[in-house]
Amino acid sequence: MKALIVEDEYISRILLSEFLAPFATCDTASNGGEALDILEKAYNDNQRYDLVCIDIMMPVVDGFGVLSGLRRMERERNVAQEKQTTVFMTTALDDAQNIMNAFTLGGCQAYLIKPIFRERLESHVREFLLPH
Amino acid sequence: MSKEERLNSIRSYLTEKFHLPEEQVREMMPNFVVALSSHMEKIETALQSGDRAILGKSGHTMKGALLNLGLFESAEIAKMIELKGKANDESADFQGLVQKLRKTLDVLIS
Repeated sequence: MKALIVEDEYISRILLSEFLAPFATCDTASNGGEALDILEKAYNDNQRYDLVCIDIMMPVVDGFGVLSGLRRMERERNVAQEKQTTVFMTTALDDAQNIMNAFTLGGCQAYLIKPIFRERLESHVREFLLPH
Repeated sequence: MSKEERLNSIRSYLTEKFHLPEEQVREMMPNFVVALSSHMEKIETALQSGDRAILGKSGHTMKGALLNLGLFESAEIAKMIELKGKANDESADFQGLVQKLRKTLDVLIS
């Protein structure tokens, strides 16, 4: 499994990488612009990511920009819905508007509020990415 | 609480809550402390610039980092800086809040 962690804060980036390490090969991006470049290259190289964890408040391009950019790349390549990259929003923003936008406008699969504990992340990985 | 006691408390939190091996946590800690110090400097720079929006963003980043380390008292102060900064609250005592945050972290990052 391939995962991309999009997170501008060092401690969160390291912890998420550690949690996902048993399940996936992890790459990281420290801002939204870098993430979009990595995602575009992955699609062009036919090496798409299975999971992308995206923080919301980030410099250059925010998390919603990354999520909508990813979904745009998928639409442009006619990726079937069931083959779309799984997205977990991983953020310290806990207000209802952001949560609703992430699901309804961006089509994320999960919204995890910091602090993100290993069990919660793992249970979402099992639910959305591992065969039942 | 001394610096070593604070560090031990964070190490225990990371080991227990995140199920990370003690040795790994020990290796991670110096860089985590550097990250906290860098976040604090960014908040203080934002305070000096008088840009409340940047102060709000810096408070948000710090809050996320502190929550990860189980430093909830400091995270609450960072959250207040975040919320008041984002709200462009002219009446907020940002200097007092930043000083209070610095005080809670001083033993770790000074």
